[in-house]
Amino acid sequence: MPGRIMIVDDAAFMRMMLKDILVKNGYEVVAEASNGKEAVLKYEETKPDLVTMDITMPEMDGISAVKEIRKKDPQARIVMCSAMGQQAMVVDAIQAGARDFIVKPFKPDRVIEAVKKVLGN
Amino acid sequence: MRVVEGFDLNRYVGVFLEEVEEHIENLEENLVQLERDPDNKDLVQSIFRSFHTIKGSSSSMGFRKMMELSHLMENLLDGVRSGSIVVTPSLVDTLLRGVDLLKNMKDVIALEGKEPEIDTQSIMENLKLFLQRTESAPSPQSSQEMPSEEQSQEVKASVFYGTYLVTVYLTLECSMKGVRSYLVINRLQENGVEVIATIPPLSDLESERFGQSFEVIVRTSLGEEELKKMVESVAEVERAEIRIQEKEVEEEKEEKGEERESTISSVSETQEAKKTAKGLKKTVRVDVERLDALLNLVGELVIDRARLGDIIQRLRDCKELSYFRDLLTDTNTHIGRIINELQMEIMKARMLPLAEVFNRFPRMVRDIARNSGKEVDFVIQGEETELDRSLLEEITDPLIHLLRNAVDHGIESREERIAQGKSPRGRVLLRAYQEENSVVIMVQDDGRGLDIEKIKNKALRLGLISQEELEKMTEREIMEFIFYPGFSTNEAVTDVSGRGVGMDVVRRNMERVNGQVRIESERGKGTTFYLRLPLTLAIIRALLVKVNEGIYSIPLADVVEIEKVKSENTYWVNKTLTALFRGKVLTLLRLQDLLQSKKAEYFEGETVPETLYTVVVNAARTMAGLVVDEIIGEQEIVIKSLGSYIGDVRGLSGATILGDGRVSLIVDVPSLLWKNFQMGG
Repeated sequence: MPGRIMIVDDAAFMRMMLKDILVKNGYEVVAEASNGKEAVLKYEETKPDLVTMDITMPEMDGISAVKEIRKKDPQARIVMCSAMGQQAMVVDAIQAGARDFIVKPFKPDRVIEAVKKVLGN
Repeated sequence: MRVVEGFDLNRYVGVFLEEVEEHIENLEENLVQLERDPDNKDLVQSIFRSFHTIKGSSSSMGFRKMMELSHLMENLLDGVRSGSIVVTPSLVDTLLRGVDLLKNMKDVIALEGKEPEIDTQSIMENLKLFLQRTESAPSPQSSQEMPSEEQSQEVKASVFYGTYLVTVYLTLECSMKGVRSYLVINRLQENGVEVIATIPPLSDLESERFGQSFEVIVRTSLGEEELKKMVESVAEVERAEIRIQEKEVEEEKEEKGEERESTISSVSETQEAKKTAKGLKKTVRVDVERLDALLNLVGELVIDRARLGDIIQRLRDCKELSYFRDLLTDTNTHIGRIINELQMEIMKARMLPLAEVFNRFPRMVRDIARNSGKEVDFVIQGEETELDRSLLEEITDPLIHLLRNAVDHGIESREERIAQGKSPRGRVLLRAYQEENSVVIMVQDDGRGLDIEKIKNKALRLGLISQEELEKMTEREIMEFIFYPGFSTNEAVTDVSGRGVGMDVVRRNMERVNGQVRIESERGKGTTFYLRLPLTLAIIRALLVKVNEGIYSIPLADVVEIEKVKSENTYWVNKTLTALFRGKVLTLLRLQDLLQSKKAEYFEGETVPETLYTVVVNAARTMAGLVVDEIIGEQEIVIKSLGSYIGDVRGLSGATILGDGRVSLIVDVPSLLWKNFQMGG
């Protein structure tokens, strides 16, 4: 069983794309969230093995969400979804405890590689 | 066609290569296994045999480099076999690199039929290090089994720390490489791995100034596999290569090592090797020209800063702008500090320890002493003192002259010394130390000292000076004659304590780098030369003065004091104008005339201005007062050469650009005074 994943992104299109990639490769998407606040709540409900986290989102941004989630679960494995030019924010996210990052536009095999490596499978 | 003693060796090349290949394969396999199982005697024997065979057949084929290399490695294995060399990861590492080189040679031989022109020197030297360590170390015990067993137990009981070079290869499509490298380093540190350095440096990594790979030097107790896994667990990392640089054992063995250190002289070598292994990748070789270019740029900055200061000055009168002027002043001060630091850093990068030059002298002094049949103790002190590398080149010849003279002519023969109640062995001291912004190098002997009378006679004979003037001169001033070009001819070598040999060269070299030479000598006690050198060549502090509407820079190193001399406080001594300065009689010279190669003294009968702005200088052991029109102030200036077009102008050492863009000529005080002195009073 590869793993249970939560997708966090404010763009439905992005969520859909990621979901397709993940499901096609045998992962189970157990939750989706469109902002940081929602992500924190749903993380507690579903306890996923991995979270893909967008950075710029309304209500609560990705970096704050990483901090919140890691506060509650220091073992949480989070992969940041970044756009080009967000270098500094990715560094912040890594300092906050994100395990890795992928850069948009997403290429399926890159996404899968990152997820695999973070999950250690 | 390769023919040795009538055999056509080409017929055998095929067999030779085949065999060598086989052995190389064996070697690779066995060496790796040996690292894990260092006590396996059969393995050692097998490795030894492989090297031995390669040596034998390559020498038959006339492949000299291959023979030498395999012979050396065979010797090492012999040491392992007898227990005098311990198998360590770094030994195996070095042997493997040697095997790589053998393989390389073999491949070229297969293609071209002859040995390649590759450099085996560095690897051979590395291999020899292992041999030397044991050579100077008395082999622990003659029995072979005991110590090795002891050692292996000890190793098992303690923790291994290794320094590794990790090469991280990123995938081709990797974007945001900077953050990626940050993540890798972060991952390592999170797991308790000590990150020593990165190649390229962190700042370059951050700004993505690197290709598809970068390197990290780490120190950790983790194994290579764990390290590799850790790095490869980061996305977009294609693979990681781990190479061990040095393995050390913490705690227990450290103490053991110290015990050994106290008895064995070769330890410093081992430590040196360790240091270089660790520091190996931390240093970068930089072309000196690049450093020169950097220093030049800093020079430009210094000029611009002075220009800013000038603008601030002009803003002073403008009341409405005072707020901005203060801001500007603050900023300018800050920029100044940064420029200073920048300049220091670059200068430090150009510095080399004097040991680079000093190290060759013991041998030289020994040879000279032996040739002249004298017994000399040669002492070097302060060789760790650092100096700009271009200065280092300039002082080498002068030092050779001074040391040669000290031994040849300064130190007396054994008999003479005994007769004078001195110790039979002479002593020559070469000492360097830093004093403020300069480095002083001292060459001292305890020999016969300079013969003032002989110098006087010689000066008279050469017509350099009149008897009358000579009477007025101090001993110090008289000694200065030895720097006069051609003062000592061969005939005079032994006469005037032979100090004349190349002394003008010494002075010229020193002047060229804004340095100074000073002599102290006492008859029968010895002579000491002091070479004073600036830390850098490019930027100096100078006093700006105005002479005849031109602004001139006088290096601050030559300036003793600035005096406003009232004409009622001047005296006519020997028909020239003088002033009393700290109890000394100071000749007053017009800088304007000095620069125009005219006689610069004021002569009796001339009208003397009421106030004489006087810069008291001390150069070439002569003190004088230079009279100028106005004293502007002190400033840091960047020396620009006058260029080959204008050439070597006596009296000027260069030019500089001032804050307001004007050019100021830099006064070469020693040569000016010297020139005036030559013209006679």
